[in-house]
Amino acid sequence: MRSHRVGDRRGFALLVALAALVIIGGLIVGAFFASTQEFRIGRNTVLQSRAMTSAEYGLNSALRSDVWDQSWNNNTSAGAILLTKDFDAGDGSGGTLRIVNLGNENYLAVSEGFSGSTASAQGRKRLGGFLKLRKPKFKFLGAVTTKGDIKVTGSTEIHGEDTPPTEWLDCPPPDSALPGLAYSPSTPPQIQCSAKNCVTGNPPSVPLADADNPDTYNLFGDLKYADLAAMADKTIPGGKTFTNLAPTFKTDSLGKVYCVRTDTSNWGDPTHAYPSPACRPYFPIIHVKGNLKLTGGAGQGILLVDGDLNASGGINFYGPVIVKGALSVTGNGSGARFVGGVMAENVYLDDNKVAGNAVVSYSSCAVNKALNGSATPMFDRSRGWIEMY
Amino acid sequence: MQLRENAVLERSIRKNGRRGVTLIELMITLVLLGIVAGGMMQIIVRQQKFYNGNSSVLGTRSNVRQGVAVFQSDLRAINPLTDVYSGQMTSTSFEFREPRGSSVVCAIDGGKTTIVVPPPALTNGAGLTSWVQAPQVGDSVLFYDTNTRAWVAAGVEITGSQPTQGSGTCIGLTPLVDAVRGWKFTVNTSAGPGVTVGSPVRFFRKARYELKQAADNDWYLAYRDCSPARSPACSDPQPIAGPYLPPDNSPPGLEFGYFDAAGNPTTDPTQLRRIDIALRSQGSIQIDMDGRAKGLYRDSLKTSIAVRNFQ
Repeated sequence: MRSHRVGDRRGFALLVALAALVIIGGLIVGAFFASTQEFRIGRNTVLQSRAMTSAEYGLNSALRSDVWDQSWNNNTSAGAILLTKDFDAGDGSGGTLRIVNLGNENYLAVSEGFSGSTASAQGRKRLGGFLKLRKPKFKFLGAVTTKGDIKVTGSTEIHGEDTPPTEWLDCPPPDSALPGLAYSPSTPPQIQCSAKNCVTGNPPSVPLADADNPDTYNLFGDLKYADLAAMADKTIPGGKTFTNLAPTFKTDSLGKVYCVRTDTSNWGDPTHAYPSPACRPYFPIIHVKGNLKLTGGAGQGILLVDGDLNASGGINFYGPVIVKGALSVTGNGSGARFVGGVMAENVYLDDNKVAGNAVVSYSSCAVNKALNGSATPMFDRSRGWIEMY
Repeated sequence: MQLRENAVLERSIRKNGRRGVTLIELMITLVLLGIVAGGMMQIIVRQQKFYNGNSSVLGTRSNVRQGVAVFQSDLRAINPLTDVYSGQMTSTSFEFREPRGSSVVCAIDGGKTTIVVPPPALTNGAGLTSWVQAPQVGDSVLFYDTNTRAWVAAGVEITGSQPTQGSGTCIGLTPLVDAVRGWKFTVNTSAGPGVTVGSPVRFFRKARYELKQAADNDWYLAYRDCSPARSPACSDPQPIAGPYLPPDNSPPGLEFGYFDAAGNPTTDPTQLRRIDIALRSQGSIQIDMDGRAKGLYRDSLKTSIAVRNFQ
């Protein structure tokens, strides 16, 4: 009878319990939904911010010396993708950096930043940067420009005609000729060379007020001599002597040959005397904090000498040479050859002399390649930064 | 006799299988049911308030976030030296030349008025072109002059027919398969001799942000752009995010702050290096939630945008 009674009861507890469960479940779902929404929005904001900073990191890394290959500076292939490089921003985000050559020494860096590791939660941002080369502008008044005395003797030749280096086959057509010698009106040159036309150019020699102007030797476009020195790839203490300058190479396990740029005596390969082309695009800025003596070998780039430069032994140098002291070339039939342009600012006006078997010839190609090759990239500050969609 | 009656009653109960309830049982049941129902109703009402309040909080936060997101991508790339219109840098509105896209010249005629730019998607992934919206007739254009290494001054506009993909052919810069998909457009002034294949290009349109009251009487962040090719040149301000507090509120729903490189407030566009934007929104319903003050929910978001191009 007891079991019969229990079975017959019509309670509402179950119904109430179910209803309560539904309501509580609804509350939990509602709260969970709200917090999930907040979490997702917050997470997406963080992911977007990280992707943005990652993209900026990648974009700015284009300027780093270990990313920017200075051989690109002389690359004339417009449209070529020079670099595709994945990067890791270090906070779990990363991306890809591409650098495209636009020609005319202009480049476009496109950095795509990513954040988030799951497919359902990822941030992406793409930024662009218009890069151009930051390089000095040399105002060569002649193949040799000096404010001090200049003495030309022996078998020396100075040519102001624009002469591309014979080893370089990709030079543009020559520009118009410069004077062979540009000198201060107050200090006429002493030309006592053995050859009849040892100094040529348009005109062969000319007194110019600008040769007396200190800015000619110190201001190179928007860069000063000190700025150039600060940009130097090689800083050499004064009093150093280099004998037989030559490029150095390294071969990796796959047989690829690299140019060892850290070697102090590797100043590139201007004469293309080595089978590997690895050092041919290497145009270092070399800053010597005092006197320098070069005996034999070859180098290219921009040579800045705070003191005197003594060259002999058949040394070849292609590119601009700025000497704060005296340029002295000596040698019995094996002096030196400077292709590009030479400027010597000498406070001791009677110290400049070019003697022996020396050849100084103006070459806009050698100057421009050295300037380009040693130039560093910079973002165009007025319109360089772009947000890409 | 009594025993017999009891027996009859018991049979009757067993036969029907039912038992009656007493008045006391009924009252207890009703009271319990009332308590349970009351509790349930309270929970339901609170849940409803929570839901409404939460919706209001989320909506308000979403409003300010949306507005900030709009500004960030639009204002970072401006150059304040040339892109901010005189007298239009106010605390409640901002009128500027909005960067709409970027590209590179891939073909140009001798007169330097007909230009082709590559399509946005190139097969080699170079990414030379990117725009919010394809260039339109009336958009202003800036070119980079490779001779002077400077941007050609403003005043060049797209004219003629609407640029379309495939209307021009690139000569250089792009892979061959993409060359025929170039976008050709004509400008009303010669771009100049220094604009060549490889010169970067920027597209712009005059735009303005301000608060605008809509038909529902709420205030929204409104965007308006202008193009000389349209009549009238400027569109009606279109609400793009909101609602926000009215502009005459203290503090207002949208507030701009302009600062120079040293962080000092400035009214000179040429000194502008940072723009602070504060957006303040308010929910439309009264919220009544545990842990929050009763009333209309308000939220604000402030962001600082450093302009990237400023020389």
